Amino acid sequence: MIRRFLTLFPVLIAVTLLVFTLIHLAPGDPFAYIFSPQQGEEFQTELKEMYIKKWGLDKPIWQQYIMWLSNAFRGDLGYSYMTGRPVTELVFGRIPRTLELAFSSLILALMMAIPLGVLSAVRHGSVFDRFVTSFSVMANSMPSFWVGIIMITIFAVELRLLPTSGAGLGMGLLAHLKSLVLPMTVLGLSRLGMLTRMVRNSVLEILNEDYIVTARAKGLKEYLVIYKHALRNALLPVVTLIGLSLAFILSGSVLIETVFSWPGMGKFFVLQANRRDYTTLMGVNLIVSLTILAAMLVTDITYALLDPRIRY
Amino acid sequence: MENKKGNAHEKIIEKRVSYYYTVLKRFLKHGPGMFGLIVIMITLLLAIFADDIAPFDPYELNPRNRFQAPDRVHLMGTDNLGCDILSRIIYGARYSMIISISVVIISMTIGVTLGLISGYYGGFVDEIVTRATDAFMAVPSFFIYITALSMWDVRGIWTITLIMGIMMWPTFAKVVRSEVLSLKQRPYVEAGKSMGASDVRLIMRYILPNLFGSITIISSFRMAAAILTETGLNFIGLGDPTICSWGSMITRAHRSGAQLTFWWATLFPGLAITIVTWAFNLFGDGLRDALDIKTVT
Repeated sequence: MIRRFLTLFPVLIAVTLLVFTLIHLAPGDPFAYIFSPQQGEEFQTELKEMYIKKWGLDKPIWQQYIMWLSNAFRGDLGYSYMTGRPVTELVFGRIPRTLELAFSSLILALMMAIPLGVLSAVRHGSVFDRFVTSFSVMANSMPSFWVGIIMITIFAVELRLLPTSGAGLGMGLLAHLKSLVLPMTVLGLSRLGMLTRMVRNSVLEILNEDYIVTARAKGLKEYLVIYKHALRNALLPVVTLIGLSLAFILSGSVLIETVFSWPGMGKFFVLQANRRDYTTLMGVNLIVSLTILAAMLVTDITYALLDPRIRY
Repeated sequence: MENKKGNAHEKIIEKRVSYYYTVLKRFLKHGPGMFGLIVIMITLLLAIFADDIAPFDPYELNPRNRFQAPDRVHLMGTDNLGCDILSRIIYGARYSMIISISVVIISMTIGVTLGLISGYYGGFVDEIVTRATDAFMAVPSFFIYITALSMWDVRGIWTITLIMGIMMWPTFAKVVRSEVLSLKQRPYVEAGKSMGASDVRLIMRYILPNLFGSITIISSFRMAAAILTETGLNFIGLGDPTICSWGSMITRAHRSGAQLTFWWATLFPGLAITIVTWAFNLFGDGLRDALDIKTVT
């Protein structure tokens, strides 16, 4: 278990190193969007020099990285170049909205994927199975933001059932939940195909096991074979899917949040990326990688707890 | 995937046929896989002969013809600048194919090389490559794309292609490595070794040809992923603004507010993306079933 935990650090170092080099070796500086043209040139150069000193941009790049890393370990991700506020404050203020979207869509996708996958595995080769299989591949192939645009057109503009965008508890719980429906559905759909397919494969694999043959041979009713013997074992690997899906869903949420103007981290990230906000970019990348790694770790641990055959 | 239930006597008198013949026969019977292959062929033809097929110049602005609903002249209507959408979709196929094929070539070269080396030699090299693969798989790649593209500020198709190619290799490396691990135990590789074949010869002539199937399957899946990612990046505003790709068509329609009333400007490019991505996924599935390879998921 501890060994598994220790493998996280090299990965984290690799990720931050990659992002850091990408950002700091890029041509140009973070000042392109900070000043407005009205400010005099002399004033700008003076300010620039001040900022370069203040942010340590005049030091060699490896020194900057070490500095950033040791600060990050202490939970200090620096100050946003654009807004001057602490990155942690900016990001953690937006993370709840993103997690809310991510988890609700994941739950929705699982609620649909498990029955669909199990049914199509049980009726392996039937018309239903073929339909579900083709559908899940197709759901996997649709650009999520495009589905989002179409959903907005149908449900928000034409039918006027749901709001097009926005969120926040400030507008009341009901209104907030209503605005969650569309982004949650679209994000869930984008993962539904993959999940259904994996549930199906997992159940199919179990159905070929010897103990299923035994259960059938001793005359057990088919539904008992499926529910008591097959499903319990087949749904174990599904637990791992939840962890793996989180990375996918976080990436997907960038697009979905942009389409639906969802005030989460993804939308904020895109905005700051366009403004070359070095520290915020570093911070968001670190936090997202941490979240994904943590999810993978939790998944492994849960899996080991659920399945006594596995020990770390 | 399914076992062929033939009678025993039929098996005995069956003519000996080559492995690839049986695979081909199995693939031809795989409906979705064939559908995928046909769509891919059509897309490639559209991409190559776009100049001859497209009814209009995709870049020709025609302000008087803005947002024309689909009719006999403009089969899919026109967009916010009066460009013919069908022609833009045909030309868009060209860019989608160029980008995704290049992405797959880059990531395949990196991934297959690393996979071969780490699987064949093992030891320290293997340890490093495996760690790097795991690290790259845990990286939120979409965030990296956004970071890299917005920082490097060159919005050409080659920047996008390069960064995607660099990020997509781990799948190749992982599968190739695990296959090499089992292939190098095979008797004929041992035989080759005992006859004094060099490492390079063993890898290139004894092992690599056996990987052809799984590499093609992953390439097909990665093509699909590359098409989707490129459209997504385009939507965020990180695409090449000078070319017409499917992603930029949706983005343009969305930005002009057209999706609300002029549905064709968003619907058709999105359908094109969906169908082609779907085709690559189906083709990969079909090929996997025909070759009966279980290492690729």
